[in-house]
Amino acid sequence: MNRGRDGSSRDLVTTRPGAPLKLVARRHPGYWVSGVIVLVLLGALVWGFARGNIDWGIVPHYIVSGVIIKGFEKTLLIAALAMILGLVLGTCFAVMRLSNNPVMSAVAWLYVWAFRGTPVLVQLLIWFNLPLVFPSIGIPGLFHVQTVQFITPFLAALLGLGINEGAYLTEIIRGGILSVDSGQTLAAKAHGLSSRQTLAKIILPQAMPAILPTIGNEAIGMLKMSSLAAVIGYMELLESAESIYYVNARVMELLFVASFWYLVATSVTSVGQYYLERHFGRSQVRRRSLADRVLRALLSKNKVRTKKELTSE
Amino acid sequence: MSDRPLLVVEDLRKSFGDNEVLRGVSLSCEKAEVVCVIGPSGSGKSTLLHCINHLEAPDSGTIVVADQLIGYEPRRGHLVALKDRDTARQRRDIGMVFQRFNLFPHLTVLDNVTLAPRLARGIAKREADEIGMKMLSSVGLSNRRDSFARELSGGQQQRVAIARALAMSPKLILFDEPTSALDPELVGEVLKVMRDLAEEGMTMVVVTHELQFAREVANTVVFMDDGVVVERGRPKEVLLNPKTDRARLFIARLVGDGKEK
Ligand SMILES: Nc1ncnc2c1ncn2[C@@H]1O[C@H](COP(=O)(O)OP(=O)(O)OP(=O)(O)O)[C@@H](O)[C@H]1O
Ligand SMILES: [Mg+2]
Repeated sequence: MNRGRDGSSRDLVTTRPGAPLKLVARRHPGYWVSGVIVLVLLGALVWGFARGNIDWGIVPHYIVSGVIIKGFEKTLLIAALAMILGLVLGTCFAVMRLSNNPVMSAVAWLYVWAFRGTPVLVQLLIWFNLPLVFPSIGIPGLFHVQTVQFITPFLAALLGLGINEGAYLTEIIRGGILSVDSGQTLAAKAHGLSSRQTLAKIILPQAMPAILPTIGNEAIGMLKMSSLAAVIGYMELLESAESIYYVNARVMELLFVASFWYLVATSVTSVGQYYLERHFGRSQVRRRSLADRVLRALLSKNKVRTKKELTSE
Repeated sequence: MSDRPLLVVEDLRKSFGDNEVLRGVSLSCEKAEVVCVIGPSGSGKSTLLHCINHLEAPDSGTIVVADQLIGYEPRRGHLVALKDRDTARQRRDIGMVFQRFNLFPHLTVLDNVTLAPRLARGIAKREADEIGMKMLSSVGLSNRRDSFARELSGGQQQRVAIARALAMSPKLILFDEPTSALDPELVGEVLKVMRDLAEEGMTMVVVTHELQFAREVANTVVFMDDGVVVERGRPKEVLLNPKTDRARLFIARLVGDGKEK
């Protein structure tokens, strides 16, 4: 080989006669020092909490207590429903925002501006206190209800969180739609598809992979944001934890209990997001390769069998 | 049907803002005729095609395809724009093939071809698949039915795009520079499919810079420049013996480019 011809490399190797030189990674003392410092600090933190005035023994008990589980279920429910409401609103307003009709576009802009520009907490309080403005609502002659009975904490939380989320998703979905090549719309329309069919069958399916990671992040955010519904008395996870510590004064313990379940929910959502992205991102390739694999497995089995048959004969 | 040509474009005008792109274009195309449109970049060829199937609304002028006024209906002495649904219905009879193919990347080759028959014509999936496979065989790609566009070469993609247009059994197909985005060695396979189509009697309006194709296949060649039709005639007249300096210069330049390659 050319090592023999390459004089310089031979020089390098032969500068130290004897055994061939071993390749060794460079040492990084700073790497170890910083790691140890961080571990020590972390240990101090854990030690502090372990020795502090916290009764860790009751935490597992409350994690599985009925009130907390019930609250966790309600957190999941309100987060899921608000996210669905947000997605529906976001899709509608994104399409409106991109419409040629200036009124539609302006209304969609106004929606985003108003609901992104004010804190969710304030929006929740406004929905919840709506009865102060409209003591009763209804359609004359058809039905009539006291607003206080109609606007329950659940409904106020759903409207507050869902409509707020819709404003963010409007912008996200709009970006996704705009990211699809305009030639796709031309081709769809040129083949006789209506605007609605073009949107549903051509544009949105292609916008989906682009916006899915962001929507996943929004869903995780929603799980946490739903804790704000505690202020209007909706018995979700945080409010449930509070209801217990108001009685037994185990504030920190119960906040950790709530955090435990929030972590479970957000972790599971992250994992789901990962698989969903993988599915949408390469759905075509994966579906095909799966079919391919099955087909190939079948074919190769047949081949093996025939080979065996041949050898046994 | 009347004796009128299949496609009649009359005094078509279209501006984008201050930019007057079409300045009174008239054109006609008989059934089974192949019209090739040539002209420099920016002369309005794509805009003309987009107006024919109403992807762009013209500012004035009329377009009639198979005795149907495209995009408008006469009402109380005016021409009133049609509803989205009615325009969509008219487009089903007019196929279109794009320079950059514009296949639907999230669908398989077969689904690309059958989507419009199913959605726009309401044909059942099985029947649509049958039609789709027939069209794919006619462009020599029935073995790629389950592929995705990105797995195909440019020439194959364009042939799928032609099959997609054919699956709607259009009365007329518009081609917008169908070979301009292709590597030179892939141009031939697409032109061959188009030649076959012309021989089978398909009515085609083809914007192209392939002079040989225009000379051999076209019945009529139209030279456009700066938003107007400058010359129109039989291929030999326009391509070999152009009357205007503009056409002569343009064609000479195209021929020169071809030789350089
Ligand atoms: N949607 C649009 N909005 C604004 N201007 C446009 C639009 N489409 C085309 N134009 C302009 O119209 C003019 C003619 O464009 P057109 O695409 O019809 O030319 P062309 O003859 O097809 O050129 P090419 O050979 O480059 O494709 C160009 O100046 C272009 O910038
Ligand atoms: Mg063009």
